[in-house]
Amino acid sequence: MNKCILGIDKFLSILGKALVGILAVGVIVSVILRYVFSIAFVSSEELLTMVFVATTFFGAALGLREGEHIAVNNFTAMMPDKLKKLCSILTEVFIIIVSAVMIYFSIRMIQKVGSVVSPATGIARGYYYSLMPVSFVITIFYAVVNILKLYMHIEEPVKGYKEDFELGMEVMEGDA
Amino acid sequence: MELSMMFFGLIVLLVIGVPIGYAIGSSGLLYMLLTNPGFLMTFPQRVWSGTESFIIIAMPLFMLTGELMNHSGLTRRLIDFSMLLVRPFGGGLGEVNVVSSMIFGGISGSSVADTSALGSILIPDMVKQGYPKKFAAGITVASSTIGMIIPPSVPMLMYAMVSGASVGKLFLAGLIPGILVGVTQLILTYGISRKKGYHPKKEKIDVASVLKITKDGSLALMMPVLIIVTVTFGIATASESAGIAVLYAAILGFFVYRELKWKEVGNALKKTFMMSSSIMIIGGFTMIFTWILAVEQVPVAIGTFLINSNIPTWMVFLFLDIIILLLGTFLDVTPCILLISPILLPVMQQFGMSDLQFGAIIIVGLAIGLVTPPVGMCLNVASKICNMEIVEIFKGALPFIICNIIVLLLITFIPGLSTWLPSLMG
Repeated sequence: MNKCILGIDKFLSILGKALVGILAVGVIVSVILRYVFSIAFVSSEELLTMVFVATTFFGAALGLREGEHIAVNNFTAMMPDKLKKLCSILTEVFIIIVSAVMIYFSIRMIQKVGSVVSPATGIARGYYYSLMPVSFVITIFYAVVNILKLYMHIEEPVKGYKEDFELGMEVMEGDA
Repeated sequence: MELSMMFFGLIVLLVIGVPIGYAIGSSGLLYMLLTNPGFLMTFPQRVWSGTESFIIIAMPLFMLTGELMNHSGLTRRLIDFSMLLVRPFGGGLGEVNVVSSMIFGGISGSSVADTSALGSILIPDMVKQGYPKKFAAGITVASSTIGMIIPPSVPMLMYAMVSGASVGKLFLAGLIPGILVGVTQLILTYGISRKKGYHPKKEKIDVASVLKITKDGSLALMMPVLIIVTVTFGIATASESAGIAVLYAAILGFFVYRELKWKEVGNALKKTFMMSSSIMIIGGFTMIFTWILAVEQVPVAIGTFLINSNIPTWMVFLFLDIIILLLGTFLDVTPCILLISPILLPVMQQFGMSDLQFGAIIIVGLAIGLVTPPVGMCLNVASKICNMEIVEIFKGALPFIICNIIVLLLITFIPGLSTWLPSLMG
């Protein structure tokens, strides 16, 4: 079980790095082509936007596992442990409900308008929209993992990066 | 009734710790179920529309630029350069802190990144030089508020997304307020340091060092200039400008400073991935919220109520400042921008305020929220760096935060401070 979770974590991490890398290189290349060689690809803007959308949905899924989502934690921090645990479970339940709605209605949306072809690239919009059901399935998976984590041992995720302040942090000695 | 239930639901969900994006999504879901379940068909469509934007690609790219520069040893070079700048005035690390924040803000576009990067070096250095820890931490967090005001600014990009205002004009709208906050904080720091004898004795510095520091610092300073010039003069879009900034940062890191390693690029990509998605998912779900507000005509109702109440315009503007300051104390910057702009911007426009002035006010006001308890992201970071209670750091920052409040009032009642520069663009 732990191996499976860490495997998915790693896959999403690599995917995320690749997506942001493609985004950066894609924008840089299109700028150079446009300003230096006067070549502009109409489709590049759309494709880069889709890469960006993919970073949002997959990153949000992994963010659930790595605790990176922005939330107001001050109130729960003051709660007794039992209530805190209840709030944690409720939080995950709400995330599962919203994700389930996203999956169900995004599939309906794909069925309805998915065959509409994008004028710039000729790609059916349904391929783009499929990012939603796929990423929200992963979101539900991580929400369940977070609930299980309250009752059994599940390995912590490997973030792989340091916070900025850790980069140059020095040990503070003395207090003037 | 349904709307009240939605707002009540949102507050309850936020209190129990549901991530802000999902809390907005859940309360929007509740509204749709109560009014017309048929609306649910549009649920994913609205979330999608909130994430599908070419202009906002600039956000992760600016974040990546900041990360690459941070891994390139930029922070130390920037501090050395700032030291050189304040030297003729006999300034010390207090002034260096403010000047570095002004320059760093032009690179990272984020106040939290500013506190992290500069604070981790400057707070220990200041303590070693005899500054009280409370003062060192206080000036660090207070000056880092400049980071999100001086362009480029990540929160401004988010505001541009919800308001439809021009990114280039918004960047210019933040320039004078950002410089004003910096200059007023600089004057106060100088006054306090001089009175309490914090300024160090001038040490001799050789010409070779001066030249090297100037070269390194100027190269870093080129970054914000490059971004502002390309975006505001319409040479490049915000996203293209951010792409150029990433390339510039990589060239500096790999070939000029020679401190950037490939492994660190991977880490920077991962961190950008996580930071950007945590903001954008809120942006996506906020579109449901924005749509509901438009359907219910909430801004129009508030505006009509205020106009019919015959409340003087100056008082409405003052209320705006107070609301922003209050919300900023317990909500993070981006969610707050995404939540309140769709409600308050149309209301303020009815009172003659432009979208650019509103943008400047909301950015300057919410920056203050980063250094006020209980939810102050910069306070949290500084607390980790120097192992101090956030309330203590806040007390240290308070005199400098007053500078921010003065600037907030100035830009609220003197529109030209935020609208004059953008008006030059035509």
